[in-house]
Amino acid sequence: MAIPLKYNLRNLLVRKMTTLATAGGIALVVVVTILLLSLVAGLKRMLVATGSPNNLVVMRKGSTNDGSSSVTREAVQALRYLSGIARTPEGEPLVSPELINQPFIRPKGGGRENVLVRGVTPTGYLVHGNVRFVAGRPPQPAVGEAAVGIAASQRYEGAGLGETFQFGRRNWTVVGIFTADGSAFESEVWVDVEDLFNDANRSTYSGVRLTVAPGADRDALIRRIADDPRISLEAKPEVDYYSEQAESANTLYLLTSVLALIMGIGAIFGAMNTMFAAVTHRTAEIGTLRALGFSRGAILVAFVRESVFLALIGYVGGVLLGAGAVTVVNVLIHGVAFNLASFSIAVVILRLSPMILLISLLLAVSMGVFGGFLPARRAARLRVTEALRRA
Amino acid sequence: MTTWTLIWRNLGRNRGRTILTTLAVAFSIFLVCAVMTLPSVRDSILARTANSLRLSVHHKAGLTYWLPLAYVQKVRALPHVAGVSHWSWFGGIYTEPKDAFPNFAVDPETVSDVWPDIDWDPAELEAFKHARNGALIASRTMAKFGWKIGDEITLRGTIFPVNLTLKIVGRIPERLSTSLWFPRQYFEEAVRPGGTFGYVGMLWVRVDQPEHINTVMAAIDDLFHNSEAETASETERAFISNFFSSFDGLIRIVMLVGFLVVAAIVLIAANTAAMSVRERIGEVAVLKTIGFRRRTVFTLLLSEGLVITVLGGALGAGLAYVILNAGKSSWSPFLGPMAMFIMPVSVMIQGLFLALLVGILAGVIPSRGAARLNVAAALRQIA
Repeated sequence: MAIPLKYNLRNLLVRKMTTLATAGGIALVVVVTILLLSLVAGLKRMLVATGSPNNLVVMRKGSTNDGSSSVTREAVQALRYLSGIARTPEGEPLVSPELINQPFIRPKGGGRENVLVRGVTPTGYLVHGNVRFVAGRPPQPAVGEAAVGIAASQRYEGAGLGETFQFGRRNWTVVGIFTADGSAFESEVWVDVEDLFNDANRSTYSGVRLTVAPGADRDALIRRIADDPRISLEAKPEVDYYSEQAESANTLYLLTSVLALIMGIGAIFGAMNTMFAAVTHRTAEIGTLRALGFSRGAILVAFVRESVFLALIGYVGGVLLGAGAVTVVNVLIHGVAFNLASFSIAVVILRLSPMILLISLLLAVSMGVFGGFLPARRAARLRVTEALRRA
Repeated sequence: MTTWTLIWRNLGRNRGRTILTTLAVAFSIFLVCAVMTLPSVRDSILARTANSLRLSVHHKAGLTYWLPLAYVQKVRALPHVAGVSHWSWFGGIYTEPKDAFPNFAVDPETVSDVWPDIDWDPAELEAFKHARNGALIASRTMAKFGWKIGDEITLRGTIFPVNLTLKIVGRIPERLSTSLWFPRQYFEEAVRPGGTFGYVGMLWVRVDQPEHINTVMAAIDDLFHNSEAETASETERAFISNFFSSFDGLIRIVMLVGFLVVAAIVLIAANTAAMSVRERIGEVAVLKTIGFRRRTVFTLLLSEGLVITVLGGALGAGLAYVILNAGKSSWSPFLGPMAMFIMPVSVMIQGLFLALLVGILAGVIPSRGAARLNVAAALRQIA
């Protein structure tokens, strides 16, 4: 026969302070886990969401990032006439030659940051289907207008709709604010590519994005680009390009996991302490339970269960605090600014997902189980006679 | 029996608990030390530049805007300028982008004028001035790829459509650096065969005296005011601190985590202290009955907790120091020099102090409670 649940709950209630302290330790582990995993999830989402499955990134052979690549105007012309590229109803190929530059822009808090500024043609907004204007419109060519990603518009001085801000060699008027599914584009500033050529004093594009025609063979198009002798370019699916960029987030993921694990082990020791004390304290009680006919197994289960309850109390507290911390970071400071491998700033929004809640639940439960098992075993092994004698 | 023996015996009484608490503290202090290493590397780099006489002069609009090469001569002619050198970012990749390291075209002739504080090997520096395609590489980068002096390596250009074959002639003896330097002339030949490229990424200027730093910065920026490329001069310290400011968000999160870890150990240690005090109420009452003063009882109980936390702290901080510094430093273009996880001794000491603080925070309330115990009530309770 099993020992009733009520026995455990009331025991936890009796030792209020100890329960709170131990559950508090576990709660803090849960907070840290939630915070760090949300950060990593936000980072991955930002990098992965940027790619569209129908798009290709075309760069100079050997380049790894479109911030450090160069593509000539002639090469862009050659690309436009390849077959297998989607076209607008007017017959314009969906090829977006782009120039990337990283000027200093002044954040609201002062100082300066390298911001990714992307020069695009009007076709660019058709190729990047996930870019949606929440206010205003795309920039007109050759008049110094800029469209600003939602994260960038919150971060930089004078980057709100209708305002004027300075970067590069001139002033730019913000005519549109866009979102892009939480991707890195939201931390960028987009301007007319010819304006950016003038400003950056450059004459070659950085890279090209293009959309594969519906039904066309994507891999064949990739091969045609790689084999074209006129241009020395290579193409890869945009999705692959961004998941390669996301690999850099894996180091952070690993560090985070190790951190949560070590902290979890520390908390297990804390839980063990509490449970050992509970067992010692209740030796006579355990003897009585055994004398009443509860089996060793029932006692073992009861004590592990009590420890798991303790962990669950911690989990609930930790989730509340953790979700609060995530909200505070996102709302008050608009996310965490990150320096990407391309040396420009991207703002990461922390993303708390059901998966993260589940992972931290598993972590909390295992802290309960591991912290409770040894003490519970000691309780189960007590000899009835000796235990009762202590009463 | 001395007080110390008593503390020691008490610790031995519930050995399991003492060990568990010590380990919990050790694990947490280990973590805090690991976490604090990130900002400490930044701080140590910044601290070293505090007295630097070097200025960074770059385009006002950003680091991706080039400056005319002619600026070098113009700046050199200014008063109080002791040396001018320049850097141009090549952005080449050796193998994989995740193994990337910074590589610059530099002026071999002026390296020692501007960086006299680096412990150069004179023979290597001399070789660098004479080799057409020589390269100086930071020791860490050499170690990572298993290169040695005399090896030839090829850097794949990304911004510039050329690949450069370089011969390693020496080291950049700077512990925190990962850079590769190669001669400007070779870069010009490769990028503009038969012509001149004529631009540099940025200038490094060494000022003769600390009191002339501001004068020289103002003079440089005035000189190029309203020209095709206006400059922004800043001290080496300001330049590096601007570079690190992009990590502020990450560092803030890391510090928050460190704080939460400490809060967790305080809870665990306080709980342990409270448990051991609670179990010993009778004993404390007896101690007080036979004449021990409040203060002695308080010291006795508090020291017991302190021994545990300091022991745990020493274990955690010591292990962190050994493990972090023995492990191969991780390589991440993502975190730059901060990815190295070289833990300075100062972080170890901070960890120890933190452990002491935890012991005090955790032990004060239970110990004070016990010291103020009403003897009669306590004795009645256990009787």
